[in-house]
Amino acid sequence: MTIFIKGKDAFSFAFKQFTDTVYRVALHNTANFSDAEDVTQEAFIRLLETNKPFRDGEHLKAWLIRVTINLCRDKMKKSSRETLVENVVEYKSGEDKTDVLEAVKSLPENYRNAVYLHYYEGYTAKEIGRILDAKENTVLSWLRRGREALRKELDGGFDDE
Amino acid sequence: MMNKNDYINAVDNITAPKELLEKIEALDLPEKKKRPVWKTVTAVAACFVAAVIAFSGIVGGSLRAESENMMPGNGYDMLADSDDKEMTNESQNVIVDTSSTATADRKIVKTASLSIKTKSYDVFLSAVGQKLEQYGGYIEQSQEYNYDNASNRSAEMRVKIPADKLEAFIEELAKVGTITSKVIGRDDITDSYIDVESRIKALETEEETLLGLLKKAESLSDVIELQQRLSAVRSDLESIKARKRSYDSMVAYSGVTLDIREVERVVEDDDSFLGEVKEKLMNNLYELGDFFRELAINLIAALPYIVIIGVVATAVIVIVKKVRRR
Repeated sequence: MTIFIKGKDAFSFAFKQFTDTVYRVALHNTANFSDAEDVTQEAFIRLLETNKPFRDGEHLKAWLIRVTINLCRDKMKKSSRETLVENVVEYKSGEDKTDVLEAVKSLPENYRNAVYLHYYEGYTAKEIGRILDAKENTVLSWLRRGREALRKELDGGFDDE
Repeated sequence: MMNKNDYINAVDNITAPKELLEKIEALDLPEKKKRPVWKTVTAVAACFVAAVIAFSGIVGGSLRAESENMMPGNGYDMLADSDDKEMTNESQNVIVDTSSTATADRKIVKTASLSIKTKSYDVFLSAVGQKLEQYGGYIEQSQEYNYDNASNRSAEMRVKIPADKLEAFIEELAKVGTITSKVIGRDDITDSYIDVESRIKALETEEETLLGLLKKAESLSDVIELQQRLSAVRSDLESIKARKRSYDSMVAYSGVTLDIREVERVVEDDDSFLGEVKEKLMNNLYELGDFFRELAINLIAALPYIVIIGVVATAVIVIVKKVRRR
């Protein structure tokens, strides 16, 4: 028998468990802290508004991550109507990056989210594919290209060996 | 040297600020209508029936087609949907009530933001263009992206559509693509609008008064002073009239943001039990198809090696046989 959580229960569960996750995803996909805070709050408003029943915590977490990424996308589009900012942080190529977080943030959207979800949250490529709506192989290639870009940008890189 | 551990540490240090936590904790929506007890009972019963049917369908195999006909989703979702509809109807009634009791002509700015997935991207884009023409709308801004390959295109469009045609436009789009998210905004700007109108009236009265004074003015310094004030009033009037025009066009035309994504398959977000089973099954079939396609490609690509290995193997067999004969 599957027990669903929804509404207020889902909200308070998510608030205790996933606030930092939502905030981290938001920070990866927006230009500054205040945008990230706005998005985090908005994501929780969406959670309050939805009537969707969640199977378990993981289902809820994946849903929150997806919503957060979409909200960030809207936010970034709004903040630059004329030209879409594909990278939240602009870097001149060849410039030395000392901040590993900034380096990840400078990756294209799909790469950076795949890198975050894999290396920090520990999701597999298949699970990331479900969250980001892509095929497993596509996610694997995002991760590979993300690693390649990071190896160029950073003294070190993310290789798994 | 920097590696993923540095990254993990850096992310570990990101935590939601205290003010943000307080804000989120304070979030609350107006208490929604409680679901009547009999509905919950029916929902649970429907869930149970659906689960039993689905289960026996999988085990027996024979009941499968029947169960899908009977239960397109599970009972829970169906009831939740009807509940939603009731609520929206109620809230719409409330809006109608206020507009009839207050000024007859409320100024409402309607906006919509749609995310759409489509398998036939080109067909969808041309349908958008065609519907815009039909309803007298236009494209305000349009950007297309093509990330990795041709089957992953996406577009972002901002279009304007006459406000009374908004619903019809969205319905037409739903026929050609799959709308995965829809946000409709209704912003009542009646107060600001009335404010602008009264400002215009006040400025026009002031302009008339100044003109009257100007006619009577005798000294040159009076004329200059009056002219200066007149031009200030006129420039104010112009800008406030421009704001009224922009309000008018916002009310007359709804802004619609379309986020269009090309996909190979549209996966319905169906969380019912059968929906999940169906989705997993479809996914596996799809991956199976993918597997065979790649197998075929790899086999063909490997032909040169296969030929060489074949030749070598035949040669070895022939030699071995000859050696044995001796």
